Amino acid sequence: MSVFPKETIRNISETLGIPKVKDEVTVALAQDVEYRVYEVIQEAIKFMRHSKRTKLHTEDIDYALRVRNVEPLYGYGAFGEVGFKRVAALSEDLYIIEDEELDFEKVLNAPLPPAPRDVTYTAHWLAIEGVQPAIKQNPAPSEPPVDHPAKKSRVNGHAAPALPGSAPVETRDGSGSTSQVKHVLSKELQLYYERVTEALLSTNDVLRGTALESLAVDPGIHQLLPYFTQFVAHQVTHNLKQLRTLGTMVQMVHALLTNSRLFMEPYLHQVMPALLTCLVGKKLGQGKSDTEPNGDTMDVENGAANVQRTPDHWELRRSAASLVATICSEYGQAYHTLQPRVTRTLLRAFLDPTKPFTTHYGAIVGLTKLGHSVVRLLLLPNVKAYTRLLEPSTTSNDTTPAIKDAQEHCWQALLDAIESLNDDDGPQSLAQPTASQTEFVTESQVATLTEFLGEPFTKRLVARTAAWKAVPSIIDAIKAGPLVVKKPASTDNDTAMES
Amino acid sequence: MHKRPSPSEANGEAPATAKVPASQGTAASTTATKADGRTDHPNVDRIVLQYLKTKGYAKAASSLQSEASVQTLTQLSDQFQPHQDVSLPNYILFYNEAEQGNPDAYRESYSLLRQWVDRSLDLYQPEFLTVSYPVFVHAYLDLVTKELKDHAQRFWDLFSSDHQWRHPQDVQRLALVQEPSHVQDSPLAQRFLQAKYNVRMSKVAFELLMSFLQENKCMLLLRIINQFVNISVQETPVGTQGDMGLVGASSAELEQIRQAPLTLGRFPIPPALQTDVEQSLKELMPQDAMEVDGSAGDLLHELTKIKKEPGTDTPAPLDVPYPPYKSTDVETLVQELKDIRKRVALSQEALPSICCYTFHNTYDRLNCTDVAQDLSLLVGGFAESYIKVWSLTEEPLRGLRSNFNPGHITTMDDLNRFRERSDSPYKKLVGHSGPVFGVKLSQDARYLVSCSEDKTARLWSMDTLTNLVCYRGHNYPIWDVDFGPFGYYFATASHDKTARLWSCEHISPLRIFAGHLSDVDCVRFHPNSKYLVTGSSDKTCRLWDVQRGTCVRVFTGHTAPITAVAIAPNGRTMASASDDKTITLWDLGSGQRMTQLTGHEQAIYSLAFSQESTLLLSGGADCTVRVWNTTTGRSQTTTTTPATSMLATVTHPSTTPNAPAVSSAAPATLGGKPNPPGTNAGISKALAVPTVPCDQLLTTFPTKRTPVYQVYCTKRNLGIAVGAFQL
Repeated sequence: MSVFPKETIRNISETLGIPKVKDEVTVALAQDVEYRVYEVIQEAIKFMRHSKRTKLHTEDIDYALRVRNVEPLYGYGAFGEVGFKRVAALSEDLYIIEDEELDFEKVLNAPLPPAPRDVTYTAHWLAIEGVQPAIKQNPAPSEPPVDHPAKKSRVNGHAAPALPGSAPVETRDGSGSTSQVKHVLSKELQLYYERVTEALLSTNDVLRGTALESLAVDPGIHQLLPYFTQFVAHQVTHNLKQLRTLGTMVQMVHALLTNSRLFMEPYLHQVMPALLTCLVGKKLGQGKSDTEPNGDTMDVENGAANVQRTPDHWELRRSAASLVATICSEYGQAYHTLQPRVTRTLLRAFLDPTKPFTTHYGAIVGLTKLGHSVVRLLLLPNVKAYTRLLEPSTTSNDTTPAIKDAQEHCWQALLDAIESLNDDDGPQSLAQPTASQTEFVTESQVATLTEFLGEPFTKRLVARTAAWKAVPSIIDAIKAGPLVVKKPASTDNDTAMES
Repeated sequence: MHKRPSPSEANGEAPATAKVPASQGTAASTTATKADGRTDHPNVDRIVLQYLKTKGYAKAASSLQSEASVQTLTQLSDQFQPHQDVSLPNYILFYNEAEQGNPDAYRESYSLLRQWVDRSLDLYQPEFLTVSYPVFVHAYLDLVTKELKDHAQRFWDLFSSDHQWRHPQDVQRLALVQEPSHVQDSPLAQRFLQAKYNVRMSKVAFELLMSFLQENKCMLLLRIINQFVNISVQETPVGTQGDMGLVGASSAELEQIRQAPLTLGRFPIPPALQTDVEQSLKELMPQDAMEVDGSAGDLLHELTKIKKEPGTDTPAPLDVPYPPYKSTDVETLVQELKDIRKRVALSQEALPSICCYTFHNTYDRLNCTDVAQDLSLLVGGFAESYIKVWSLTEEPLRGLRSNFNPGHITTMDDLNRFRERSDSPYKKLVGHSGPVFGVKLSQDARYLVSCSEDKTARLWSMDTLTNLVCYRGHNYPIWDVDFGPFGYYFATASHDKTARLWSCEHISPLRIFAGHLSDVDCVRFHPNSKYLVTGSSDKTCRLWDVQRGTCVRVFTGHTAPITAVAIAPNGRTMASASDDKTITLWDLGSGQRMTQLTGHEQAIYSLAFSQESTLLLSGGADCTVRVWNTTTGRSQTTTTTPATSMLATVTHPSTTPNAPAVSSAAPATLGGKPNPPGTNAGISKALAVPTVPCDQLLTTFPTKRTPVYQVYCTKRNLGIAVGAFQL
């Protein structure tokens, strides 16, 4: 049978004005056409070969036709692909060449396309006395990137981490690239990596725990660190819906940080974005927080049911927040810009009213964990404005239960944050003894609070009996206000300035 | 080696049978009636019956048979006594007729042959497979011509796998020939019908084949073999090398061609030029004894060495007439001597340095390149019909302005005043009206010759950067061009199946080299300018005598179109690369294959020998430059190729007398069940061209993503690779 179905032949004959063609004729024609086409292509391949190409161009066909004394098919340039479009007409499939309509005006007025770059040549040594020099123009010795050890460790269909620091091979000559250093992993390490990542992603808690523990104590895995950080980044970006995976990743970072034999510092820049995503991500988990129609009660139930297996995303945000805070305090000395950058990110998330409450929650928690100075300088002055954002929607009825839930969480977080001013053993601790003696909040205190923090917030604050103790320190903080900025000689100071 | 020109002399018994069908093959049915004048009547009946049967008029046939009591074929063959020689022609007559009328006969007899080949000794299997290929093709074509499309299709489906491994393109192409009109049209079919297929076979294998064909009464196959296959019988097993393919000449003629004496030595330096060079060197001697290039004395020494080279096969100075030498020729020769002094000795241990020129932003439009021998110019021919010339030295390229009166020019300085002021890094030469497929600079880099799809070749001056002459003569696109080693002559290879020799001074070709059965894809001059070698799509290379215009050697053995050829500077070795990704080294003198080099993974675009002819550089589409050792090949001239040697080792030592072993196998084949198609796969694979790098591959230099269009080796043994970077 020919590659051309007889319907094609019939269609073509119809376009030529021969409506009825016998079946035998179409079959015979199809076969003949196939033969002729094949001959032409054979001829065209000669032109391709002599043009030292491995791809057949339309112009090759043209030349082949010219050789056979046939008029070439005009109109099919060498550049740009010819698109075929299927049209269903009369219950038969027709294939036509896509021919766009062009607006003449537009074509004339369009700016000229950039001129193609001129042909140039470069010279380099391909070999010097039989040895290929390791210069950028030559491929790296034993180049094939396919053999890269990390590539082999494909786990569960996840792309293996690329080697950080090794930029993709420069292919265009002229742009600078330094010679690459090969990072070779031993077989054992590759195996370890494979096993650990597999265990981390498994549903078996025991296996996961063991893997995390191993990461936290194993002394010999430093070489794998870049791959692990890549793994984290990759998993987080690709599994935003999988709370479980996200949680595991946070735990994994924690484990890596606890491992005293690992030098995490150079890889923080890769871990931080992933952690911040876990912290202020718009929607983590299966969208439980805002797609569930039944809202609160369901949520609670679900949460109760799943509390053992999957932590809710608030929990995830909290753990991420504490981890970020740990990192900031631990590496703040070495990485001067680390904390300011984190704070700025969080603050921006907090102050952006367009962001969802989930993000706000993450930002509040994150800022809270960063210490009392941050809270005092960045959260406290903004509480009043922010509660206004929370307030109207809390009362209005058209908000979904999910959003209400989120707002509630934000409230709690905010209250906790302000309250935390008391827990600190900063300069405020001096005020504590006096404050603790008073078991209730005085009118004047309430007035001050209302003035600075707004009424709704003060109400809620006062309602929390636990917060009473904190009230004096809060007021202190409010009073200290901008003046205190320069007083504490902690790193938080810089943060505040930066922010 | 004892060779027999025709199969008829091979054996006492064989010739009688082998000859008869030859005379009958084409006109079997007509002779059928004439053969027996007396019994005219029953013969006519039988023919009518045969006609009715083939047309499917079963009832009419049976009634005719019963009424006229025609003897059936089986009855006839029962009567037939094999040992009665007298009746043999008669028998063949009937058989032929029967087989011709019976469309299944082709399939049956061919499958018989195939089974037999399958079960024959491994030692001879390649030879049998080789000979079965033309049989396959012709059987198929016969079926097609008889308009038995379905039978032909079935035949192809069943047996094409046997030959796919060796002739993949042709077998595929054959499948498309489905109508008698296609047979008339198809160049492939026409080639098979017009030229005989040449096969070399060992004596034993040939006898085995003949006796098999007779024993099994495969007269149909016998006819094909007689009509379309040239078998030259040799004493020793030939293995896969027996496949010579379609050459357009009989084995006897080829043998005769091969006997033609060659003078492969260096072209003599004209005595007058020699004295001039000596003179100029002596003048130099006192001044530059300290010169770095090597003192003039050394150069003189070098010159005498060249003079003293063995002169037994040096061509006579008038074999290739050249115009009288000019002062520039003296300079060129002196420069050449200096280059010889500075030459880096290359060998298996001392591999070359290779400089790679990479073109950028070509967008696949660069077709061909060339570099000047002294590396002063780099030339590229483009698909957009123009040629670009770059200067590789500090000196910028400056053409001439068009607005000056040539009458005012008397000295070189006058001319230089009219040069362009532009400082563009390249010069564009516009003249062709189709893609440029070949560019070649003369050895002194003063002229450039180019060829194109527009059927013309053009000569350009590199001094004025203008077109000088347009040569018309070819009727089809010109694929390749090569300048003679001393300039003046150049040769073109074209789609019109010819190569032509031109001199720069004449606008019509001096010689037309016709003989190839398909496109001539590449052409190269022999270093003594007396010969040139061409490679063609008909899978052969030919060596031509420039003066006489005759073919003096035919090199068969490649299984795909030839893509590149090169002749070693020593004038004795030739290398050819083909589309099957192999390179073959040939001994020009004997016309024999020396060795096959495997290792390239894609098409090979260019070949170049080092100046000592010990190394071969090759570059191709797989973005590598490979260096091959050509010296060990010399000792391997007598040994077999990897494939055959492998086969030779697996033969059973116990079956030393081959003939009985096979004759006993043949009847067994008859009784046995027909083998399913593809049984030959095992052996086919074993015989297929090996893609693993052979041990003559010394090293491979990969480029990043630059298919290597051209490799070249300068007089100082510096390797040059040119290619276009692909995005």
